[in-house]
Amino acid sequence: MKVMGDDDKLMQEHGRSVVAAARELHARRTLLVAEARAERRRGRKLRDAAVAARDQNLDLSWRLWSLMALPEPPSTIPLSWDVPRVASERLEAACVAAEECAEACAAALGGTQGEIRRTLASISGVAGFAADCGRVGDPDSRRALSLCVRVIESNSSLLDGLGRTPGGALAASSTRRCAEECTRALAASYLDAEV
Amino acid sequence: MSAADAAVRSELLFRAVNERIFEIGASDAEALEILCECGDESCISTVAITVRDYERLRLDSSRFVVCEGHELADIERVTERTPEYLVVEKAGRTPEAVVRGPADRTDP
Repeated sequence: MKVMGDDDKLMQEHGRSVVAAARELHARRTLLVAEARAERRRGRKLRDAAVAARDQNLDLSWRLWSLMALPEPPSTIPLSWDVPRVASERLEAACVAAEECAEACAAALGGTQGEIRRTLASISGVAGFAADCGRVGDPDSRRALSLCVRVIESNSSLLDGLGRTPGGALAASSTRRCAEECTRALAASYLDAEV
Repeated sequence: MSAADAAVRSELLFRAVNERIFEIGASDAEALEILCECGDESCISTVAITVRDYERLRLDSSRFVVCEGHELADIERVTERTPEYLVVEKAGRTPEAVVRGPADRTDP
């Protein structure tokens, strides 16, 4: 029979303490994972609530606009809105304006560089996409129109500057017309849904 | 529609728009300004990205380019972090619409 030496005892004790620490860590990890899951569930619920609140707020803004309490209609539509799609005449006008805007911005790319060039490419892409969505009756037509308006509006100061240059006047004016027509199409769709 | 579904729908819309921006702006430029592909439909943040990086990222349809702080921790994981943007990937089961890509966009 082999007698256990001091070193072996030490090793054994060390092994036991490592196992105990590992168990403790595992238990702590399990607890943390459960807490993280609960937090994620809570986060999802909060986000659902936030989306619902934003939708309700947007819906109220549209109502206020229809009652003439707001001068301009909101440029975003609530997620909860679905069919009917954008009123066809207004949609057609918005598609034409968006196409013209996409073409004018693409044509103006040549004479520009840097930030203006990148912005023109962005607006051209967004407007072209919105026009295509409207043409094929894509379920996301209104979202695309809404996005188009927001992107143009967010670049309004840069577009004002572009409008004062010889090559950029057409692009700048077409973006403004595009934003107006898309806003009208969104407003028309809202009024259609109200009827 | 749940918030997660709405987020996926927005991400796909932004990505489809970015494909158009790429088609228009990539021909003779080194950098693009694309839309943040996050799940917030009202987001209009933009991201500066090189054409080469954008092409590389588009090889995987489950990846999206978002601004810092726009990632959704419970359904996405960050796979790449740059000073300009984050690249996120859908965690867990990837929605079918994401795998199919923007060309076949449908309601999730």
